[in-house]
Amino acid sequence: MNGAPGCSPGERGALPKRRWYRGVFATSSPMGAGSSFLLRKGWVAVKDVEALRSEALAGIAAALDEATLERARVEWLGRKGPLMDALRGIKDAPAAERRDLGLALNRLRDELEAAMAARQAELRETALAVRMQAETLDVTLPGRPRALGGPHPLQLAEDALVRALRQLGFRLAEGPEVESEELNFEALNIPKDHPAREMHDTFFVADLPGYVLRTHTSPVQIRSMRAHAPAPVRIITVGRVYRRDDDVTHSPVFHQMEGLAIGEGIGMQHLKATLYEFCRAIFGRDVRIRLRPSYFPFTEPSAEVDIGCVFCGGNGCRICKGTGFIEILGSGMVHPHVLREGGYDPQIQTGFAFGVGVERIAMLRYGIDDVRLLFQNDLRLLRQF
Amino acid sequence: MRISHAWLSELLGPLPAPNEVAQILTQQGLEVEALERLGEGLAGAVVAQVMELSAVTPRLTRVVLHTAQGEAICVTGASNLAQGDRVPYAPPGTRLPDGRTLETTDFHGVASHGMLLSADEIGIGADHDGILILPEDAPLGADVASYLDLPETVYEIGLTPSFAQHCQSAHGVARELAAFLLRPLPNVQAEQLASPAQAAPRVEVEDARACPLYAGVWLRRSALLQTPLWMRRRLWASGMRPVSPVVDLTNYIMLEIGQPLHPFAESKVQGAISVRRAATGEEIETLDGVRRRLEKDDIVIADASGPVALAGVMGSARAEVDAETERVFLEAALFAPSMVARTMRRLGLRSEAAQRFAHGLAADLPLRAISRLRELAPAVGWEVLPGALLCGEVAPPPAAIAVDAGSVRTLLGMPLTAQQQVAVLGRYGFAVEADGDALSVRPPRDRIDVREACDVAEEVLRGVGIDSLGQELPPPAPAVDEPPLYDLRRDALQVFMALGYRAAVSYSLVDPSLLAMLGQPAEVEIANALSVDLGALRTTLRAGLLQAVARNLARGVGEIALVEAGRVFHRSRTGILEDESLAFILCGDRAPISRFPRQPVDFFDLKGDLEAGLAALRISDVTFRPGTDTALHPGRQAEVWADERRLGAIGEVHPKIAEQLGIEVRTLIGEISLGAVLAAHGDLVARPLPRYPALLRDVAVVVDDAVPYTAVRQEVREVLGGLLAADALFDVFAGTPVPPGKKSLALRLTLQSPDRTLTEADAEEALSRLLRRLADRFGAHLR
Repeated sequence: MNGAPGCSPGERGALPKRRWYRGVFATSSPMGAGSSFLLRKGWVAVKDVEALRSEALAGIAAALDEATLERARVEWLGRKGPLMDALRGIKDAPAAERRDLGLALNRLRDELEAAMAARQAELRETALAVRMQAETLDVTLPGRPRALGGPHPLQLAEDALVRALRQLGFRLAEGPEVESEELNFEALNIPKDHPAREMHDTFFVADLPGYVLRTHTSPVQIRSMRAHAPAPVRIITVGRVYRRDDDVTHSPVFHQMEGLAIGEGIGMQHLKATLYEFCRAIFGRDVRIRLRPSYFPFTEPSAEVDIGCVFCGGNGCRICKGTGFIEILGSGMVHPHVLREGGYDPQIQTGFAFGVGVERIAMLRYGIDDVRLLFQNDLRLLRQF
Repeated sequence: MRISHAWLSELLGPLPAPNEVAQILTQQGLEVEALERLGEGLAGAVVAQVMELSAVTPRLTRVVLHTAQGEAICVTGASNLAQGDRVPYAPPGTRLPDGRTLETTDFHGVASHGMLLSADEIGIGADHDGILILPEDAPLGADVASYLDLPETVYEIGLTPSFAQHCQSAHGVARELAAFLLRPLPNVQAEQLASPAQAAPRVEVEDARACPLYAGVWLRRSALLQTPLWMRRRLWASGMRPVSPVVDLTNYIMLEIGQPLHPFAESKVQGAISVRRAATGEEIETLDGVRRRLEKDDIVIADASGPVALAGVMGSARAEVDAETERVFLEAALFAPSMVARTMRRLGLRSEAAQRFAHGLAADLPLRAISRLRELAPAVGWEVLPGALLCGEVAPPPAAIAVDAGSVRTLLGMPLTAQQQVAVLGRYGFAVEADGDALSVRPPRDRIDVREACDVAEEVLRGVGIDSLGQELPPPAPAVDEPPLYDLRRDALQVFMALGYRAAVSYSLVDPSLLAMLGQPAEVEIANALSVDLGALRTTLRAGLLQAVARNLARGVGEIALVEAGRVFHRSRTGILEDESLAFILCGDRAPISRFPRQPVDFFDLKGDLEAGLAALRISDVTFRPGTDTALHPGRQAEVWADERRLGAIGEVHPKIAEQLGIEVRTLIGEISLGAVLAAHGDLVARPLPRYPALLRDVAVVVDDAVPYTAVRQEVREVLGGLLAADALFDVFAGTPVPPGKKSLALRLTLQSPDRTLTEADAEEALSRLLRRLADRFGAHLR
């Protein structure tokens, strides 16, 4: 410690022994009665400085809380304390000794202040430890519950589909859910009595002849073509469609997403690349994909897209009926009749279209086996998403 | 449709293994949905001969059998056995396809050593009312499974409407397989019909559009035979039930080449036959024993006393061929596909015949069927009499289809020369003439599905294999604007999800009476609803959310917060208006039960959520006014306005409505129009941050209870104007020391100027102006 008692004479800042200095001690000093200070002609002996030091340090060390320490600080270092008295008395000391005396007293003050600060830090540390001990919680108690919001599985599936296709350059388009029969059927090459109408058990609107609840999102194709022909088109649409069906795999209300690309020189290689990219975006880079010729009135040639069964990895299971593949979407090259309805010349522009059931994607991705669960808003299901 | 591997193999020669055939068919577009193996697992049964029959009880017969190993005794309940019959005998230890292992069983003191087998027990057919009688030449002692070539593979094929036009037959499926395997196509020549040798019955076709071709021949029974086993097995494998030799024959020919035929017992038909439209209200009892009321778009075959068949769909009980029938008039006709389809759908009678007629048949198919009939009739003990009847003409083949081979290349993105395309089409039996890239294509008669160049392109694609398509991402197209509501709907849902709501998706078809109860009656009703509760398009999303709350409460789920975005439907003078709506509902506690204080939701939870939500959607200056919505608590509801535009309403569900829906917990609901939100949508422009310090002032004013807070706030904003940077109501207090009938409103006002530092004096001056105004307007005084 700096300025420790008994440092060798001549050492810088050390007090010369056996010299007397004048100083005044406050009468209220705790060193009053039993102290060994010599109060003689207002002079303080170096020996007394030593005593002052040890008593002050003892006082600081004895403070057990910050308030006591503060009182000690006032006593020893305060304006009325002995140290300040002594400092004030320096001016009366012999000139030759003033410097040494000043140095010694200032060093003592520094020392006491440092001790004071160290003690204070110690006391704070202790107090903090005590407080933290007192504040200790059972951290295994449950936290304050928050109502957590979340998306619907259908929305998650729809978002994934839309994201994948927007990345491929498709833009969204929309159309009404109550649609004219003309756009829902005739313009899409499904004339009355066409066998394909059997696949579309249709809801009709009361008192509004010629209008149906759209059975697919395909009328949006016609609307988009008519809005943009003869310019190229690259759109997707997603929305509700309606069919008169109600069982474990069919819901009277469900969602479709559909894409359309029209332009000069569009061929089936473009369709295939788009569908492959799309399936990889939805089901992962390693998904197995298979095209299979199929039939849709509004496309020719048509192809169904199957992916390797996500449940059994293609080995065959109940879900894929042992075939190792599951049907995902329908697609094809836009039928010339539909192109003409849309305002294009099939000799010049060609195009492709594809459609996918959002429910089916959601059911496959999240392992939901009853489509009706998707419309019951049962929070026991929704809270899992 | 179902077809056995054995049949295809008979038509085409040896085939690859069934799994591979299934893959080929699927890649051709005939999706094999399932592979069945009939009779799989039968082991140990042998061919035996019936030597002696004696009764054990009136219902049980003791049979002495001659087997290769000697004599065996069996007891059977079947009654179709005769001495000398060859039968499948399953001695003890035989394993059956259903997994049973046979033992010796005692029947009334007679030990039955194993049993005799029916077609059903063998696994090859649905009949189990008799023992399967084997042909006389079945070798005694032979293993039944190998004698019958078991297991028999059957393909279950899902037909698209276009394949249903030409592949509802063994020949149709075989043609597709042949094209891939490069085998000759199976074919049957059409018979050139001579004029009828017989006068009766006379047939007149009244409506040639309904029935463009009506041909018929007469058959006479020449021997009392059973339908041969090979024919019955094909019927079974195809999912049909053998009935009687002549009926089985007609069904067999239908399964083979696709032409439905119908036999009439000649003796039961009276007078001339006419093919005509049914009279409305006319009735027929169809073969299934059901009396059916007909309509004018149904086609009937009628005799002097009424319909004897529902043309193309089903025969009548009245003219049914039975065991006594010795002469038959057999019809081979074409009926208008759309009319048959309509009748089939209306009556729900999806007979094998109707499913074929409904998709259309080749123009000469009836004549091919007659020629096949002549060949096969003797096998079932019948004889086709010379001569035939023909009304109408076989339509000539349609004109050749002009196809540009270049367009096919573009459409498929494949570098196929015209010659390559011609070769591929030839495999499907298409006759093609090529002049450079100009192809003139004549499809085979059965390919009524091929009408245009794009159909031909599809044939080319199937021929070269869909797997040979290349892959290339399409060139970019000019971007177009997207409908702004799509993103707004997504954003709105996101905001509410962040506030703790779960996204809901409800049917947009709802019960009209629910809409009426909610005070927003249905405007778009469904003419042919599935049920009353799906009877109308929703006018409000409240219907679905309230039902969801009721359902969740019933399942014991509390703490409900749901949000739904979707369309609602209204009528306009010109049609239907579809608006995008957003609804949200709160019920129960805000959070699940815990050791913390419960937080039951109230009006201000919902309102706070909406305020936050609208702020997040950049809708400013939202005001709430007392509302008059009948579905909501009259004192706890508000209309939501922004910019003099009504966005919607929020409130507590009216207790009467809650009760009717079985909701016993206080429920808050709100709905806003996203269309209106879009219109009120602000731009996103950052305001500069304030440069001068703000002064905070807390003021509590006492006003009458009846004074709405917004009125006070409006004055505050008006008086303080540009100096008011923010205001918050931090306390509403009534009760001592506030006089009765009064309330104290405590406001924290943030005063700030954009261009200078406000002084205390500025604040004092502003506040005293405010207090004077509030005193003037509301008699308010400082608390």
